[in-house]
Amino acid sequence: MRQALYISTGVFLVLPVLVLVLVSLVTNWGYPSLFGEGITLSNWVTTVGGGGELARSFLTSASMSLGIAAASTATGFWVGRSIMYHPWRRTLISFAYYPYLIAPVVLGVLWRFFFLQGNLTGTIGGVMLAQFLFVFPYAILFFSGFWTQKVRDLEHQASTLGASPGQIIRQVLLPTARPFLVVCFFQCFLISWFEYGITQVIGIGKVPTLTVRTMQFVNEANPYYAGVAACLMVLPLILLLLVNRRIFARNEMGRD
Amino acid sequence: MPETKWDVIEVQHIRKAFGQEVVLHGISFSLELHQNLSVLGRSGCGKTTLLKILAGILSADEGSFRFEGKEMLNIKPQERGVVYLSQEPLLFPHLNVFENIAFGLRLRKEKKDVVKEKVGQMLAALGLDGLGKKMSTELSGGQRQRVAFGRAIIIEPRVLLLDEPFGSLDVQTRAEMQDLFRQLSRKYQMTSLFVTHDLKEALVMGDSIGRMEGGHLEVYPDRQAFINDPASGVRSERDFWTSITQDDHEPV
Repeated sequence: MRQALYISTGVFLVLPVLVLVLVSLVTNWGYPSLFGEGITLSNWVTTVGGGGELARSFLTSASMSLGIAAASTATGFWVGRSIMYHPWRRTLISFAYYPYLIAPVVLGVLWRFFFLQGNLTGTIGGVMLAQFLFVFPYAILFFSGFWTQKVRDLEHQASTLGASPGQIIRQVLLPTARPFLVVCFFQCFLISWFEYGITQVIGIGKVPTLTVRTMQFVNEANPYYAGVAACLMVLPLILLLLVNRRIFARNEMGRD
Repeated sequence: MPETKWDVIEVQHIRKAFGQEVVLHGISFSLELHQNLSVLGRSGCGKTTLLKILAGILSADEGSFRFEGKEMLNIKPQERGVVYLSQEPLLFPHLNVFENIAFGLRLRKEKKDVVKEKVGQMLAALGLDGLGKKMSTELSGGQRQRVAFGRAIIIEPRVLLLDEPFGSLDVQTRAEMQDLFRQLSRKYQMTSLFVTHDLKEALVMGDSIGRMEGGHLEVYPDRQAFINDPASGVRSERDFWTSITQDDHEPV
């Protein structure tokens, strides 16, 4: 039963990726061909090899998402603490839901006026700021589950045992929060990595992230290049899944 | 010349309100070195608030807390040397038993071999030999409370504040922990304030006994005065057990 579950989950997860890989490798895939024709690396060589546009987009997206994930996790951790220890925490935390009540594209349109005023539209900095504003509340919501009364009591306990505020952060809070920080970083990275609506509206097509490029290829009816772009998009996801699996496996071994 | 007894802890007129609600109405008491004052009180009487003020976790609206004549309320909690232990044994989840107990020593930058020796001795005193590498999730409630004790005692605090530390333990474990606490208290010459809502525990644990109600604290001059006070509940408890015993002897 368990084996069947593993196999069906594997097929469910792996099959779409295999199809993407196949689409990225063929030069022509028309009806009634089952697997397409002309399997080569030419699509990859054209778009990724030799500093192709997709390689540049991949690096742009990766740099932006890593930066946003780091900034959101760090600020979300501390702002979350301030909110959850505040007497008005219920009211304050409800503001963090605001960006997720409306579609990202609509949110981008609402923000665009302010970004235009600040000459931030069409710039990497502007898109990063907009994405940060979208991802950062998620980090606050994520850490609201960490900043409980028990953590506060741990802080007090450490304090009466002689720990200074700096020592409490270094020796109690950060080690205790480590699993939360890692997961939050991964999730913020993925939200930013797959973000399209805000990026398109604030970036006005001048910030070619991988999602924007993928949609361009789709709109151009070029499924083979879109396949290459999509393969690059799922790459971090697969890497993160593997890393996560190793972390969980290590934790399980630690328990044993 | 008569010997002068130095009141090591002198608490004067501590007052605390949360908004309009006054929780502590001018608490005053004194305690000698190496003595344990047990304070009996129901939930909500202000016991925890008092302990947290003495530990520096909460601030007092008024009053003073002196240790050997030195005012403590304006000293940061980490510099007071007053350790607060709650009912829940708050062990650091990322540290094993050894490192939890060593926590305060490491903060004080004690040498590694000193830490190893002191923690080893403490583990033995706590009856936790061989459990140094266990994580807190692998311990029972009583064992976790022992570790919390050890972690507090090993740094030789000026005052130990215990907030119903055995409240969540079963009867047998509770009795064992009371014994252990008394042994450690003698061995390490602790000065402590032990708060409980259990009448028997208050009697067993305290060198002197106080009773807290509605934000007021009364410290009794001696044990007999506590027993004689109808408000302490000792007499009604004794009458209850006497009546039970008599009932057992009456023919059915």
